[in-house]
Amino acid sequence: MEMGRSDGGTSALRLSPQSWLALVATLFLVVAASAVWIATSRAWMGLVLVPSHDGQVVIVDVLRSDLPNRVQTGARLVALATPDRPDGLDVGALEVIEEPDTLDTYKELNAFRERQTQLDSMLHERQIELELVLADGSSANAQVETLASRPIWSLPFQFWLQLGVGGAGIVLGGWVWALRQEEASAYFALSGFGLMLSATSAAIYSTRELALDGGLFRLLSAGNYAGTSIFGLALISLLLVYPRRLAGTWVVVGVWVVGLGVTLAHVLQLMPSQAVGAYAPMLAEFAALFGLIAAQLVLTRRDPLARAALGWFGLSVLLGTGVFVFAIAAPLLLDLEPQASQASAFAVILLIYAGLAIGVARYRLFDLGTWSFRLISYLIGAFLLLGLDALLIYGATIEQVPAFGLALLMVGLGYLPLRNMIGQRILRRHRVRPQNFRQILDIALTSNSLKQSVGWHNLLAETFNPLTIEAATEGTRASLVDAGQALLVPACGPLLPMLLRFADGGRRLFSRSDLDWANEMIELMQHALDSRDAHERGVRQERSRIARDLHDNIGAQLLRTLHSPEAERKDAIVGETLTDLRDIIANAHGNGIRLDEVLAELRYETDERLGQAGMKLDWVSTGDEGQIVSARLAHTVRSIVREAASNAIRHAGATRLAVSFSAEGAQIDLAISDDGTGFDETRITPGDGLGNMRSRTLAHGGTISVSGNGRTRVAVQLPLEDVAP
Amino acid sequence: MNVETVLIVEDISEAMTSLIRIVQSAFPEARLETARSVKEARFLITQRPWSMALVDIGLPDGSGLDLVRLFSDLAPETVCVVSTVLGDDGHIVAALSAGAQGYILKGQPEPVLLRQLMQIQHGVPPLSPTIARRIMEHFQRTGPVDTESNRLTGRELEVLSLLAKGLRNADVAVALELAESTIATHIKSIYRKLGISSRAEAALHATRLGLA
Repeated sequence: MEMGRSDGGTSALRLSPQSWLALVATLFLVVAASAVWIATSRAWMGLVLVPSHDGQVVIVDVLRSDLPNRVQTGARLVALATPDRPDGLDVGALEVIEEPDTLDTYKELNAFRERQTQLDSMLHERQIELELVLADGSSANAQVETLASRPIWSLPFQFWLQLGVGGAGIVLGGWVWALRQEEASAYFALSGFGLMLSATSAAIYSTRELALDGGLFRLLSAGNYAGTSIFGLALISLLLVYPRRLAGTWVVVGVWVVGLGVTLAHVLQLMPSQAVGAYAPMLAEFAALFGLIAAQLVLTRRDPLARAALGWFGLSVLLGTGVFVFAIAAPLLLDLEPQASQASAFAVILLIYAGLAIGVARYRLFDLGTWSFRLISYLIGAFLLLGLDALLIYGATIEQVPAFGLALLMVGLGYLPLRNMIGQRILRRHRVRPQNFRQILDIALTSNSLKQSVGWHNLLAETFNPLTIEAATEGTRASLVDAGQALLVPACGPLLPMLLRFADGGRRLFSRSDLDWANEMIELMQHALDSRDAHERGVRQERSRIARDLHDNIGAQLLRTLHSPEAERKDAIVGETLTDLRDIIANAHGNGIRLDEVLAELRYETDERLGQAGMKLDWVSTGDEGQIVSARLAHTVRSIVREAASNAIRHAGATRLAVSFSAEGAQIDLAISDDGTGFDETRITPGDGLGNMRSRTLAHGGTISVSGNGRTRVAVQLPLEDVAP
Repeated sequence: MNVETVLIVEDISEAMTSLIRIVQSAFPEARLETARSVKEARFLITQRPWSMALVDIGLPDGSGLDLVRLFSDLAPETVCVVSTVLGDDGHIVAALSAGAQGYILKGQPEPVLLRQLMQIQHGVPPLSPTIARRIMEHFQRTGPVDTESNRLTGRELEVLSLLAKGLRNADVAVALELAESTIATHIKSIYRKLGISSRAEAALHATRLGLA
């Protein structure tokens, strides 16, 4: 632990947020434990007493079974007597009022405290006599022995409620402070401390059975009053400096001097009257809060974000304190009955903290991000575990070990899912939906770059609903700008960088999850654009391959047709060209052609042609089934077989044609022979079929031998080049 | 079956002249009419019963495949033959699936075409190795949608695989020790199953897409 440097007058211990929160939680637990100890170390009759409308005290519940029958629900407690004080002391409705601050004058208050002291000392004498008026109107006396201490289970709900409100105040204040140690958060934490002081004190005295010692009562009242003052003054100070600084430090100090002065004056009973002392400052503080919120709203009119944040927070402060002031304080000042119990009014104050939570979640109030909820959610889980454990042990009297397991189970089954559900609502994790996926693909595949930009712009607008989208000048990575006021979306392929300002039409700031989402979208877009480029490259390669094939094969064959004098030969070449064209089209993927398919087609075609001429085909082919060859090699093989078949049909007077084909290792052996009369080997010219066979073979680096003696025989060897499948 | 009326659908006039010549020498008695577009053909289909139709796949106002479908819906008795220059395998298989009873490649010499046409008319459909291979692939792909009765029999698969190796019907018959007419029956059965399985596949696709 080290002492931090001084920040604008605020020096803070450098502790981790968890440590701060643990410190605050410990403080609260110590205070709460003290409160429970004080509340339970009172002498106890075992009754629940309430004031009745006719000014008497009614027993509404009896919590002990060892009391005489006369002490029963519905009976009225009229007076108390003890051996030391046999003449007894009358008991009136005033003794059991929740909050003595509601008394009009200091004189009444002091008399009340005096009676409380007497009653308390009587209760501690243990042997007491209750003077009762039973429900049927008859009088009765009952001897009762008080217990030395009040059992913890008998503490009423209001006690725990006020303790809880105090705890929420200090923990939430501590939460903000733990995460951001600034002047504003210090005031906020201070208000939480004030709330705890006020609520815890009230929890003890407002739920007493009948009496507390006057001195203790006075101390607790002072604690309650001082706590309320600190709460109000801290909120005033907060609004004096946040979100806009309205006044200098001296004004804040002045507010505290005056406020604490008035508080002291009231505790010392120097104010005009008890009611004025107790509630006039509260009303003044409320008016000041109202005025400050209005002033802040005016000042933040050019800053929509600060204003929206203030709106939530301000509204909840006014609502929280307003309910308290108007339900309790104002009626009392006007001599009317308060409209709500003080304990439940405390709960309303928690509204402030709900507003705070929303402010943090949506606008990063106090500059806290949504991540900060994670911290507090664990603390709440821990408190719940402790609370349930205690409840099970003391309330349901279950053994300690099973009780802890049971509490753990209940927290696990009940709280943790709830926490996750709330977490998901608040932290809304975005995921790219299938619909977005399609949109991104559509944009990536749009060829018009203007349309692409517009599409991307619209998609971002739809996704984040920002107030404005501006062109950004730089940026290679998506990032949050100005602490979440804007989101920078970097350039992505041809898409220009953009700056998105104010998420959700200015209703919230950009968060880390927005950033993650944007990154996911950009990654997807980049991938889609890359894929498109790769595809286009492939298309270009394909196009150039087809162009080359067309030039090399079709072009050359058409040229041969053009210069060929014989009509029949022209027809043959054109027919061949059409087949080649089919190959080029069928081979559109550029992966080469399966040799066995080429041979099958060639066999079928040759058989057809020979059949027309009344000839027979003997076809033998061996080799690898799935061998892939280039379209060019396929053309060559085909053109040689065709040429040989044509010669056999036209010139040789043959009846059979034998084709043997083998593709072994790296070589193709092709032999074609007929049983005809042969031809004159000297008459081969470059323009005719045999010449054509020769030039094609040589172009492939192969060898050819043709013999025309007796029967015609053509033998060709071609190297089998590797074509990747 | 006697060929009394023939409809030729073809948009290239030279090809038309050639087809007319072939049909006239194949079926000298037949009455012959021509159409140059899908529109004209649609009109003529409903005019009278046709014994045979030669349909070009690529027509200026649409695909000949639509006409093939129209024939198999309106006049299943018509022997419908698709004609194509480049003989793109995919188109031919599609035409056979749509109900064509055969196909001819216009680039081949006229005598070859003439013989093929006569064979089709006599119930011996042509099946080149490439197309046979394509049909085998088709049945492998659509396996799951086929019911028992639409699946190819072992014998049919044998016939197909031999055809795919470049053997002609007669050679297949010798290789399998069957009559040539039995091979033709197998081929026709393969054609029929191709049509049924294509329709079943189409229906399955439609169901997947939520169209049916």
